[in-house]
Amino acid sequence: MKKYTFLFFGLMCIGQWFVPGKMIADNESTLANGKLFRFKSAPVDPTDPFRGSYIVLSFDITAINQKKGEQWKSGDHVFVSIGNDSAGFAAVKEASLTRPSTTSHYVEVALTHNRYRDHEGVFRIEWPFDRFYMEESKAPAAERIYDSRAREDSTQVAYAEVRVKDGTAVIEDVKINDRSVVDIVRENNKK
Amino acid sequence: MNYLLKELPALVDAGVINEDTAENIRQYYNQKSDSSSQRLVMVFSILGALLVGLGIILIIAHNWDDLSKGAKIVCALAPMIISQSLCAVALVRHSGSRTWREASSTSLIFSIAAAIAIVSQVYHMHGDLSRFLIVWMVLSIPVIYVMHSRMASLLVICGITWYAVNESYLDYFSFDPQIAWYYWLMLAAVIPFYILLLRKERRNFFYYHTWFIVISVTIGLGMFGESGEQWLYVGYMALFCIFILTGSTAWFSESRLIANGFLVAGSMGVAIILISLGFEWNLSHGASIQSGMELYVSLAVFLIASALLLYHIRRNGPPLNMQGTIFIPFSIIFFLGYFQPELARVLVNLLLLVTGILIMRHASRANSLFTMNYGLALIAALIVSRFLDDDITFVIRGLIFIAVGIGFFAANFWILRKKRLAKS
Repeated sequence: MKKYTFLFFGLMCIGQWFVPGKMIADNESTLANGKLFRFKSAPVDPTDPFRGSYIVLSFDITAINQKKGEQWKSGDHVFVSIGNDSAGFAAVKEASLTRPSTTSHYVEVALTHNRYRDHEGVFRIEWPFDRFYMEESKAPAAERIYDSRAREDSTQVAYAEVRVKDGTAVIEDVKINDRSVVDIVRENNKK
Repeated sequence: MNYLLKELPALVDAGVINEDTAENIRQYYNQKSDSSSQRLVMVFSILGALLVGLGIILIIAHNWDDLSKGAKIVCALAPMIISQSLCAVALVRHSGSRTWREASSTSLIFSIAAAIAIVSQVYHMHGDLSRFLIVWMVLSIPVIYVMHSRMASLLVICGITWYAVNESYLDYFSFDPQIAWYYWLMLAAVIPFYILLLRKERRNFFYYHTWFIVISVTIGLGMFGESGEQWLYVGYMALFCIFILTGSTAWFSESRLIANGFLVAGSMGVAIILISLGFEWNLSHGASIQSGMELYVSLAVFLIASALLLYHIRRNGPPLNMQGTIFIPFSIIFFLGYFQPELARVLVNLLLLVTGILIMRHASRANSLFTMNYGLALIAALIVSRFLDDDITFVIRGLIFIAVGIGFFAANFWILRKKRLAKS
């Protein structure tokens, strides 16, 4: 009996290590080998009970059109291939139910569709990288900075730098007018 | 107890007891105080582990920016390796100590949460609360069995219920309410442990489990509610009857009433449904019988309740606790309500009245003051609520209230006298 207890104890520990281990490995691989895209956005701030404070990024791209020849429904997952637009920001190249074979620069997203709200064939998407975690005291400050700057200067551009590889996407930084939001907050706190 | 121990020499001197008996009494109380102080140590160890666990999660939530990524990851995984080591020590060195097992298991469960949470924070991972809770609980379920930890199993029941609520209730107003199927799978994974407790140690932790499971399943069934939530009335009624029938089996009926979560929650659930439907039969809009998941699940619960009822009757003869059969007349009335809502309302009121009377009859046989008052309270609730929504003069209302009040006095007096007579 005791022998089995130790066997199961070992298996349990392996399982408990495997999950965070896999998360680290996947994200590190994307950070090291993924391609960098800049997603235009506007940040706001709520608090999550477990994961501390973060800013929620609402990206400019919120919806995509159903691919011709495919039948999508709410709750489906599609693979969105990412490219760059003329200004150098991320743009949707194609979206499909099947995993793209020609490029590794794609992200898997969930679709929602509400027939009362959305036009036919238009699906809202939830990007899998809509949070940027910051120290508790800093997230609200970052949001305020964004708000005040937006009022003073309507030309300011906020975007998230995201590395993308084979369906996995990891945020590297959030920038306002090409400066990291972390640096801006740090500087503001010093003043 | 101290008084008794102090008196022992005097009792020996007076020749009331001999020296051996005095020694036996001393030993008995020594052992007793040992086991109760051990229990206290266990309670405080579990509390300590819980607080440290929550503290770690809060510190993590602060997300200090000055640490490097590597340092953060070490901070994420360190509590887990420490807790796993503590569990190993508990298994190897202190295999007999429940305090060690419970405290180390509690800390392990929280450290798993910390590990996943910090890692997802470090990589700014999206990930909704539901998914986080599933992963956390799936990794925590083995702790129950490997460590044989009651606290771990209570925490898992809380965690999976949280997941069900988050997935099915909090998302209710979104456009696609989800059914938290994994909840049932994970609950099924905990049940064998509960059965183990039922067989081997029917003590405090077992009673806590009963209550936790009863509350969790009651919340869980609600996830199947669709737009109308009509069939779920049948489903819930059948579920509460399952609770009552389970609570009336020999495994539970011997324990104190408050320890019998099945019976108490089942009876209260039945009463709440009957009283609320007695006010207004508001289920008939459209009068169409919708099919869907809600209907299938309610039917399934109904069938399970019927099977349990049959088993009960075969085993013990007609069930003593007639409350366990209410789901059958209720379902008929419910079906009738689609065509005759007013009649259904009257019948539901009658059903509540009959329930109250049956409970009082049961109470008078069992000489139970508490149950008697419960039955009376049901009837009183019925009367009071009927007179709230009808046009009746104050005089008659007053008289009825006085009659109900006298009824309470008379019934209590009667039971007390019966008890006194039985004693003498």
